[in-house]
Amino acid sequence: MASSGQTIITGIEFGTDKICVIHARPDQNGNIEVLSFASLPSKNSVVKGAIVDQNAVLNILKSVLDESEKGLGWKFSRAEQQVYFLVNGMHVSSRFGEGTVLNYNDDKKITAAHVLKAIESAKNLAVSTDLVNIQVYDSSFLLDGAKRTFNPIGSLAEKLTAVIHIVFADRKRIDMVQTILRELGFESGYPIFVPLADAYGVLTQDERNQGTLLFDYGAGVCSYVLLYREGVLMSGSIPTGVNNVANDLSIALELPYDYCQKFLRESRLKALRDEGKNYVEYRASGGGAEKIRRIPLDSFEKVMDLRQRETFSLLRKELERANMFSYLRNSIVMTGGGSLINSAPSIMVNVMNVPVRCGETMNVTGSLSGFRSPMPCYSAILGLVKHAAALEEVSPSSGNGLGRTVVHATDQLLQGLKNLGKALKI
Amino acid sequence: MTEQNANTAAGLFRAPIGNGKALVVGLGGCGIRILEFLHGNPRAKWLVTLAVDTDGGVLAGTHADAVINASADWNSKSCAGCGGDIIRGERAVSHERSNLKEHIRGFSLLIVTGGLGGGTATGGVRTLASVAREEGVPAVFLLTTPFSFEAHSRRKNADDCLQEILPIADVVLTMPNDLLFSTLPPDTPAENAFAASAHEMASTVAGIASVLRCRDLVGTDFATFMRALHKRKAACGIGVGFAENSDGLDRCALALTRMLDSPFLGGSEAMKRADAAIVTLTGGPDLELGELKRTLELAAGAMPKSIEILSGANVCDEAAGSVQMTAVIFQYAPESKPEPLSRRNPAPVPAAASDDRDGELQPPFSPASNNVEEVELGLQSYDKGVFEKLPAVRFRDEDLDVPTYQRRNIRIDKGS
Repeated sequence: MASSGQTIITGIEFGTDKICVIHARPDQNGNIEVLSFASLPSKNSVVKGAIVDQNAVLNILKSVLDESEKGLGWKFSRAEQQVYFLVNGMHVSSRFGEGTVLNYNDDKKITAAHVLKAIESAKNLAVSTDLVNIQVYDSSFLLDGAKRTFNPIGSLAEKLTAVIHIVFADRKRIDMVQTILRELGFESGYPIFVPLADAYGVLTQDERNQGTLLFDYGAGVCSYVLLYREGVLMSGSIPTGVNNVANDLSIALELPYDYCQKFLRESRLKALRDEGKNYVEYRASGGGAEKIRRIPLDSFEKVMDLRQRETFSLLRKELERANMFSYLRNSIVMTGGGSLINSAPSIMVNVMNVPVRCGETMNVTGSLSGFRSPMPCYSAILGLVKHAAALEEVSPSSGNGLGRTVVHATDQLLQGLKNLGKALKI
Repeated sequence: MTEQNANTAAGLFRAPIGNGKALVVGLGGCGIRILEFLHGNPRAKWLVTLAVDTDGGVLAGTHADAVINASADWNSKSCAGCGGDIIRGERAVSHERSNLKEHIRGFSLLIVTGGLGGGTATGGVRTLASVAREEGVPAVFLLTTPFSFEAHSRRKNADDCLQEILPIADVVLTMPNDLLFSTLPPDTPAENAFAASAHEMASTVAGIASVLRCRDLVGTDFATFMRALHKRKAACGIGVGFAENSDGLDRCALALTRMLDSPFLGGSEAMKRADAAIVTLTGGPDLELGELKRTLELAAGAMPKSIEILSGANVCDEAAGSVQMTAVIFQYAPESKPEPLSRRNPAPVPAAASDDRDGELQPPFSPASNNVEEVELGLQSYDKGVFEKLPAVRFRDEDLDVPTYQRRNIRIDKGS
């Protein structure tokens, strides 16, 4: 482990764009010190957040891990290392669980034991065996089925209902990651859903309290979480991302896909507009002759606008369908590489009619030279370290395997209902 | 409250929004015709006009304050029009983007007017909406849609254009030219009918501009229009009635009558079909409370009880000695939802069964319903590019890997 004796957290991201490894050390104040970081392109081995080529991922991850460990400057046993990895994609889903417990105490005061029992009961959801419960967050509690509260201990009630937010993932996909990790010498890893990791690093306490949607605009997938009073109300994914915008541009304007990706990454639309240009001059070579095409910038804007507006409208519909839109009272915080597309925040404002800001992980120090793209591109993996640190803080050495995530949640509840509330406090 | 304080407070209501400057852009041939009628309208003297067209000949005779001669051909700069080609119209206007920005900058309100279905206006409105958004100028699009006897392609172009600009424009007011049939006798010469259309549109532009220019005393302002119309496709009818003190004792009743007779309101039939209406009384500092109450009550009484009415009043110094009644009625299209790919290009359906088509809506007044609906053959293919060989990811019944513009049937200019 760490030479300093402090916990070092290893975080892994299997992104559509890149596979990254981070070694970082959290401190008592919620800051994280990056010790080393490495990343390599995932080269189509991950599609829309899900691993599609296990061998390729294994090879890439091996190289990235070696490079990151080399940057650490000392050797350690992987088997003893705490590893957390990000999960994303349409195989991740979330549901509400409700569990009720009756209070037979004479004084009718709700105790921590009641809360724990209600939560345990809420977790007993009948779900397909193909799914695995990866995280549990409390959302709220109902006293006597009517009065909603976020900390029921000490309240008077005959009946306590716990409403919890459970994140599920496809069992096979999680097993695939565990196999990869075992092959690389780790005992096992602990999955964290991308937007929940982001929330740890990017949102302020006020935002988490007042009803804020965190939107991770990734390369392959967009994922989101709605937080209200530090509880998770809703989370999910939409299967489009920046790559879809690039693909649309490529097809619509008959341009190479890589050119379109670069166009987006370099915010060339804004740059050209600022120069007073109305079109792009593209040199196409074919049949030995070079031809210069003039493509209107309005065409780029139109294609990008249509795709992004559709994505954000789908998000709005998801919130409305779940009757959660009214909880979006504060703002939307966008992060991920897509949030750097110049028009994205304004389109989001237009669609959602809510203030929008772009966020990146706060309070990060240490070796940042490995982060070659703008910081919002790394908010998930940095947030993962913060999330992991919060879990380590609450339960530094609990079981192993997937059950640990659940054990974590239970431990957190036992330690004063501080699962998300405490964990999210920075 | 002292008299001085009362006057100061009243002055606050009369102060125009922003700097009170409004720019009216006439886009394409129809838009420029409307500007010409606006030029002769004494109540529109405060409006600044800008004519934008691809046809240099049309622009040569205009009285607009400024002119932009957009060329669809970037290389030769020919100004012979775009021949009804939307892509050429779009390219021409988008090429003048910087120029448009310069003209729009500094105004508090932008009104874009034109006739949909042709090339310049249909292709250019999106660029204007985008520029207005970039410059932060509230924009109202007052657009006519083609007569029902015009070619199907023109009506489809107009419809596609509306679908495209609705999400990005602040307020879109579309008026079917067919509404003119409600007041014009069948033996009206065609030329006069089109002139009447432009004349009525000019009055409407002036009326709407004055409503939006003033701060609202009661109810209706730009935000009301935005709330009612933003993102929702609606066919509108607009009536403007104007009366001065010299017109008689009850100037408000007279203005109301004139408003109800406006051809673009579409008469009682249109009102029966409407979902909602915004009714505004605009007057000068001499507007009395009794007049206000009586007129708005009368206006509400003239509308069917089934529709939602948003009444308002505003006061501006320029309207001293006169009153203007403005009514915008609209019939919302059913909530439009993209069709799943598997259900696209349906088999031909009889007209009677096509009333509830998604996104398709009848004008408030439709004089002659077509018995045959033209449909497109199911020959469209979709290209998924880099996602072609990956398993399809369907979300809410749609394959999101297919480009959005393809699923929405939106044309994109690839340049040249």
